[in-house]
Amino acid sequence: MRLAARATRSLTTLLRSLAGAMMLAAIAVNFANVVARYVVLRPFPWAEETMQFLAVWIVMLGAAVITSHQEHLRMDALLVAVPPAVRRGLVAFDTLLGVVICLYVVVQSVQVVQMLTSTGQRSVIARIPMNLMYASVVLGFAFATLFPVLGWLGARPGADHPDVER
Amino acid sequence: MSWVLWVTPIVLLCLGLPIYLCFLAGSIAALLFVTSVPTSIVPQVMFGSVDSFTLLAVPFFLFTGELMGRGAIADRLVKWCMALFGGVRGSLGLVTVGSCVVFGAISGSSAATVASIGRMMYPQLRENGYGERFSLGLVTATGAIDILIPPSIMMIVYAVSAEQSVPKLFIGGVLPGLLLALMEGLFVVWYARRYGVPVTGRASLAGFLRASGNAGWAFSIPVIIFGGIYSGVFTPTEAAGVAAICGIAIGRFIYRDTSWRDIWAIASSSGLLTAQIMIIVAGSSLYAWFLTVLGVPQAITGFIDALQLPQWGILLAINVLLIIVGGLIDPTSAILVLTPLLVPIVKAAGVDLIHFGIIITTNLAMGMFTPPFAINMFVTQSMFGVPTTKIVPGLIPFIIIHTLALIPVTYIPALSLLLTRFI
Repeated sequence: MRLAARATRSLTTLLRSLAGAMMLAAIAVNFANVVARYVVLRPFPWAEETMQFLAVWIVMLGAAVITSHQEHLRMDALLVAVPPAVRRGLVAFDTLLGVVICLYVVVQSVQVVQMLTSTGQRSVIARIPMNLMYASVVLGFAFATLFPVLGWLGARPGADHPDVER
Repeated sequence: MSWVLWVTPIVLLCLGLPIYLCFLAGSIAALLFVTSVPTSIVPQVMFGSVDSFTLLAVPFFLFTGELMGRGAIADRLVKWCMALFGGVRGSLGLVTVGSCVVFGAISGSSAATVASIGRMMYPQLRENGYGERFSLGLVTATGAIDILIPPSIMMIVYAVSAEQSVPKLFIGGVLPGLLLALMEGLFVVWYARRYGVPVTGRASLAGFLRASGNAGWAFSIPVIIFGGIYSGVFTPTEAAGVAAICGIAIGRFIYRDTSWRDIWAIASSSGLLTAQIMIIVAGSSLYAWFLTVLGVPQAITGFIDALQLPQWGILLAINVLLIIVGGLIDPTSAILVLTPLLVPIVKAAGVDLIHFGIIITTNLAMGMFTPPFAINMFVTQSMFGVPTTKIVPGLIPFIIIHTLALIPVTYIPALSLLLTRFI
């Protein structure tokens, strides 16, 4: 139980830090590109694709952290209105369905990554391997599948969903 | 079996599944039961929707907004508004509205505006004789002006979805945003007179000049954003990134109230905020892709054409639809799913797509504080620990004001298009 909770905490801290570092890197690349264009009159052709690459990774890793914190936007009007027993059932159903959907996306994304690896496709200008770009979807959704499972393993019996306790 | 495309996300939304998963579930259901496209389309469309240079402005504006909200910059902007409105009955309410407009010109996020301005203004409003419900309603609703005052994340999302110009949409939102602020300001003054709220603060030229001097650097950020965009120096994405660097420089080296540790924390939290919004972009884009592939926009356009409604009737029906949808889902999802459906209809009715973008964003700005799904209300709720039963009654006058503002925004296109002629 403790191990699952500790693993979740360590992983989310790591992913959160990676998302923050990528955010600062994207801001730095953007600024460097603007300066290069107007000061040395030679913008970096790779800047745009690199920033987009960083943004996709921020989104996928960040979404996994949000899954772990159960902070995704949702309409919880029904969840807060029903009795606690029904609420627990609904939350369990939502979590299970979420795991199934994320797992489905992982399977599909792995196939796309395998296909891109075999063709060796790269981005047009920055020449970033496309399988590396799509790997963000695989990893992000794999973590989004893993965190609820770790949550179940580390949960106190009878614990409620944080969204509906407020 | 095409009904699964509609029923799946609606049912799951009601059951409290995260919104992006509702759209993914609807799309997967369509993939399994309705169409025969390859399943690899799921990651491809999701990836493609997030991998956009225009949308890259979203994380940069969120970062800048977070930076401004945490440091003393928001405080200086509020003090500037106090120096402007001090001495007028209802001045603190007017300061709340004015601060949201000014902060909106820096931040692209309505929720960030509510968090920054609301946190500062709510205790002061309560201490100075404003009612609890009114104060809660005011700080929750006025943050939505941010969506119309550029830079606006919702306008960027609409621009991507409808393939329209971000700079034109930005400038098109200025007059409707100011109209809304004016109407809310008039309501504040009426409330203050009606309930005898005492006059607070004192206006003086010296005080105003001092506050302007203190807030001068904060004002440089909108100057960089809009000056850069409209002079053709930057794209909106580049302007957002440069504004972020300026925000760091101002907070760290000029006002000296932001440490490197703060900047690191803001980068991480704005990264998560970006993910919270953009993962919905990924899910709803996939859903919108299925709607398009299945010919839903053409079917709806054909149906509306058969009704032979006049332009005002079509716009009225769309407004009603957007008000309902705005209260049920977040604006990003609403824009991404509805834009491909509605654009062919309004195009056929002769409505300018920049004007329509402003109509959509004005409607969905109201959705930010219209229950049951009201993001600004959730921010207020968590900040002040008050139940929604206290917030909702305070929101009703603002919902009425916002609905009234929709009439000129919808039926006077010049309000949205006048300024676009100058760029």
